Amino acid sequence: MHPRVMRISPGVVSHALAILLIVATGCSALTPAGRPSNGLSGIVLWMPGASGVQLLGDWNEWGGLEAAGGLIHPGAGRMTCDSDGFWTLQEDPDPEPGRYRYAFLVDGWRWVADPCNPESAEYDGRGVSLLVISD
Amino acid sequence: MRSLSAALLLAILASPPCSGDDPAEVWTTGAGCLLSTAAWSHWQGDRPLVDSTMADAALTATALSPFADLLVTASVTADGDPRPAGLRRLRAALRWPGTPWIGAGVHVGEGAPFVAGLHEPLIESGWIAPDSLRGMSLSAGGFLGFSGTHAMAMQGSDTLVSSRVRSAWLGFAGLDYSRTARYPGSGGPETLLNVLMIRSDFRYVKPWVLVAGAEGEPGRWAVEAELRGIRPFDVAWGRVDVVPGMSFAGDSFSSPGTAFTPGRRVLTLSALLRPERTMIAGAVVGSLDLEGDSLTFVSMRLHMLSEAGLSYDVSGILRENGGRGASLCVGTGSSAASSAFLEADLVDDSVRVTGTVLHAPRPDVGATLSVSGDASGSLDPACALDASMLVGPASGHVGIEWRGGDVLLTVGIGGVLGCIRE
Repeated sequence: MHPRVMRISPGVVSHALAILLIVATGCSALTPAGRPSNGLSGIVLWMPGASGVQLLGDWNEWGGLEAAGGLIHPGAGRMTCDSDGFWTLQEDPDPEPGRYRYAFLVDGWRWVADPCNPESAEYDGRGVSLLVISD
Repeated sequence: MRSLSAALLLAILASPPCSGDDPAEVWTTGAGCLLSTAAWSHWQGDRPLVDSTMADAALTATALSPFADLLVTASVTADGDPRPAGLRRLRAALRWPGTPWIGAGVHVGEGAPFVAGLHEPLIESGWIAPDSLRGMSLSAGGFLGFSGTHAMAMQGSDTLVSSRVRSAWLGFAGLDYSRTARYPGSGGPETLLNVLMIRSDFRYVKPWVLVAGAEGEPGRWAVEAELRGIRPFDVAWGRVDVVPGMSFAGDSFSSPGTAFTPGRRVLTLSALLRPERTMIAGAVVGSLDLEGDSLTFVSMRLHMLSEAGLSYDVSGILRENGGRGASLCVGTGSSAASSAFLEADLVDDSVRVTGTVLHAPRPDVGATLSVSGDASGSLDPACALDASMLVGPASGHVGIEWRGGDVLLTVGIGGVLGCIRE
């Protein structure tokens, strides 16, 4: 008699895990969290555990990536983290009305598009976000 | 050009402050540095091999005042192809302050044109390496709210000329016009691109229109338009925007950006859920390709961060040509110190599951561990561990990656130190 092999798809595992988490945490798991107030159209990133987050975009030449030297300055678009893991910008760059692509540089090496922005674009082969500033 | 910039520098440095009771109140001077080192290696057999190393040091001095803007950067770079130390970047500009104002300057290693499109740029940053440019520019502004810049630059034997005019808000519209031309030094045909972007507002609808054209043979045109401001649902915590759009390009249109593909004609309709006070966002996008089926698709994505500290990301795409993909990611984090994410990505018939843990034992230092495997066939496991720090003006990164199929162990170390003193 051969032992029966049961295959469980990862989709089922992830769904089960999500359901378990929701049950364990109650209704607050399905209630959207409040958004910290911030300038620049409220750009904010929730990323607990990151050592640092920079906001880079067309308005600051992607932190110097396209400027002479091709290096990202570690101080460009530096964000600060609150006790809940929300990263916000302290100084609003306040660009002119127009359209700008942007993304977060997490830990100095990982690019992350803004999950709270439904509009996307592309920069250097990466998925990034699109910010539209009207007059 | 060098003699012109040197003369301009000397003139600026020798001139007294224009409103000067105390020169210190007129000039803001600063200095900065950017030191970067990086090395990458991999294991072959039982021994490590260094792939590349790089070290770069740049010093920058700036002096700003209402009537002048000076910036000089000198650098030393050592990598696989060592380059001599020297001037990397220079900007020396004079400005006649007031309203209206006029200005002029010379630049080295700056001035590469960039023209945004509605979604992707028509002229991309990096189209021309800024290091290869040296030229001069004229600018003016304050004339009824209008401003403009005209720049000429040498790039090798070619000449690059760019002009830009930006209007004030005219009550119902604002205009941006740019013209970029490149004249080959070899005498070949020049390339020319005119771009007009119109931002208008008719209270209930806000059309954005972009028209681009290049002189020469027919078919070198492109039009992109969107209707914004349609909000069927708008409450305190969020709103839904419906955005119809179109993007048409002539058969011979080309630009040094990614906004248009020659011959592409696409209609789009988007419904965007935008948060105002909550951490929720989503989009449903439909695209109809009038010339083929490569860009006909329906996609959706939804993101929410809950009060319990759980984040959900769901996305999916269905293409006319049969391609499909989906992604589900659930994350959790209890404080600013750590978070974990479990993600499943479906591309056609393959599923890859990735688990990621982020931990920051102190605010500026963190580590990321990522483990992934293919669940639909060969396991193809992969593991990556990255440690990073962003402390004060310095950042550093150490990464180790391992892939099970072909055992490949790579190690990368990099660090950047930047400082600015004013």
